[in-house]
Amino acid sequence: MSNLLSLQKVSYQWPGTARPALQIEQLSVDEAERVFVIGPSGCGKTTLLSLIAGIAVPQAGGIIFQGEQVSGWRSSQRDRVRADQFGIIFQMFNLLPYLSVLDNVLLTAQFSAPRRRRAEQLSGSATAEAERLLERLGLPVELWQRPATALSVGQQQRVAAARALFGRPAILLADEPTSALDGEHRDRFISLLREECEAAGAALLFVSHDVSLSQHFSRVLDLRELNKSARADGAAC
Amino acid sequence: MLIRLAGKSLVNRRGTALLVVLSMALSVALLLGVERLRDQVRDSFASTVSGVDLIVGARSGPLNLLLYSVFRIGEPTANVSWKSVERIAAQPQVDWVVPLSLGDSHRGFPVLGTSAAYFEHYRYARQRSLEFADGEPFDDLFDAVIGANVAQRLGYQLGQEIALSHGGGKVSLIDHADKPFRIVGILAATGTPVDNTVHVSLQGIEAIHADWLAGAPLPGMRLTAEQVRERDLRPRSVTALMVGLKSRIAVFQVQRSINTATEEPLLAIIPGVALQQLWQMMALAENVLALVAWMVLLVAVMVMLTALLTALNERRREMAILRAIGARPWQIFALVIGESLLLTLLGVVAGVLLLQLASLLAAPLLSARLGLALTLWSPVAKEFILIAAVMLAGLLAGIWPAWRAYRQSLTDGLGMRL
Ligand SMILES: Nc1ncnc2c1ncn2[C@@H]1O[C@H](COP(=O)(O)OP(=O)(O)OP(=O)(O)O)[C@@H](O)[C@H]1O
Ligand SMILES: [Mg+2]
Repeated sequence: MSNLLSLQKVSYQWPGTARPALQIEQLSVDEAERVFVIGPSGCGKTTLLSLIAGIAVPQAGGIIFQGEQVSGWRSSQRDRVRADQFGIIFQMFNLLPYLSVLDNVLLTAQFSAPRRRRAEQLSGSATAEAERLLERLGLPVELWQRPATALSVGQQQRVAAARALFGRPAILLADEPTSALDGEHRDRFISLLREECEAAGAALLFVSHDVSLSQHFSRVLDLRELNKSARADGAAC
Repeated sequence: MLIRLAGKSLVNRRGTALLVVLSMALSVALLLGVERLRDQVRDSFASTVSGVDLIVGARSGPLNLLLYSVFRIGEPTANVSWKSVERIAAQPQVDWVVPLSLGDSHRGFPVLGTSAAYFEHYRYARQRSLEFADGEPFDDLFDAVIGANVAQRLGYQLGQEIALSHGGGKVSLIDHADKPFRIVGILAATGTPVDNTVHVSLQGIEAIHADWLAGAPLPGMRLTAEQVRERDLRPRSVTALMVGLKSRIAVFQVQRSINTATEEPLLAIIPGVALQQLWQMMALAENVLALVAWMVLLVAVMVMLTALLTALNERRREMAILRAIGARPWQIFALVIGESLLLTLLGVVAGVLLLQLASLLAAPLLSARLGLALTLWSPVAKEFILIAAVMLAGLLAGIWPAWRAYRQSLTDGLGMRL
């Protein structure tokens, strides 16, 4: 397996804060690999994902994605890479309330022509691919035209997964996407996510504070060990 | 694509959006309305007295004279003797005079006693002369020519007989019913007070007052319409007169000679100059109105700003989602500023429509009360400048929230901060 993503001596401090939220010596993810990153609240999990997604830029160190040092790129280029190669799922409220379920999935195609093309190659049309993903994730057809707000939280998270998977991204970033789900739904959701990432050939980086989820993943990283900034301080995490 | 998103997001918040558009529309309607009223009132006032070089009346204020003689607003203080009329007409520079005798009315419409020269010399709207829609000028003692509004509103036709009343009120206590007038002419619409006027000859006015003294019928002395024809009906005085000169160069000279005449205290005014005075007097009120209109715009813009800033907190999540999908910070900026522009544009469109509606409702009123015509859509450059100013205000109001959204999208990261 070739390397997809790696962080080298990365340090990041949020503007207006006293110390770096994140200092990571080394972290790498292979293509199609599924990695679970565990860390308590405030430890920098979301910060880590922001850096990887290129929304935040490390003050020191480098982030290499698909062999390119993306942390040195202009923000517009990073935005492009994110649109074309990343799927992101938040903890909750992933959907635009004023769009239908289907349009929420198709939003990805509106911001990325390559992903629209890949979807068309896969299923004939962008809509067909969105429908295929929704179906695979267990969303019945009568929900597709409903406004996103009409769905339950669990259904919303599956729509978010469909949107993230649309057009075959290289990697999915999931920021505690199951924290609002109960046990059974949580396990079902993670299984689905794993299956679909496997089918799409996408890597999966899943962060959570919930240890019990680690059973689903082959590789588990503990952010408390990874994040030097937190350890030096000896604070909560 | 971005515009569709902005539109859908806005529709999702249609409650506030509607209020913003409404307040914007009101301010635009007011802003344009004040301008339009100012221009149109000026235009129609100015067009009412085109082609008259001087207006002469008893000595009072120039504005007073102008208003009662031409616009039938207010009351004359005194009359002009017929001797003075003849003396002015005899001046070598004077081309024509048209006497005006006011004071009677017909069912609320003013009656104007004048000479046949009125139909020849009266000009409105840049040198247009009066035209007859039907019939011809008065000839007989008891002939009347009515304006377009009078004919239309009272449903009068040629040959119909009408009774004049003493005084200007709608319900007159004393009628001249014993001496009815026959309608011989109906004038085409002019958009001036002429439309609201009943025209009769000066002799006709004399005739109905022949058995009157000091504004009341003489007791025990009633003349029939036939008897009155036998009397001397030369007018003794008129309310005012319009004067046309052979050459306009002489206007100040003639004006001075009339104003300084010792035989009778008279006042001659140049209509354009008096109108100018009127505008100067009205400028203060107009400026206050305009100031209020701008204030209302300011309030509308602040309403929009409040709505945008409030929405921004709700939309922080929306922006974070769009950023995660790959939206660029400038697109976030454009989304917010686009919304402010869209709201302003909708406000402008609604405001113009609102103003059209208001004009539509006000036009018949203004025409009935003052005989002034209000034209509807007059896309003058000034209005476009005002609309551009409103759009600019909307754009400026959008910059702050847009900039905040832009900053947030850069500093929030993937974390959804609420
Ligand atoms: N946008 C931001 N601006 C400033 N400081 C931030 C920002 N986001 C996070 N931080 C700070 O960075 C540190 C790490 O936060 P982060 O959100 O990455 O933690 P987390 O592990 O995701 O926590 P949680 O499990 O609660 O989501 C915290 O101290 C937080 O206050
Ligand atoms: Mg977090």
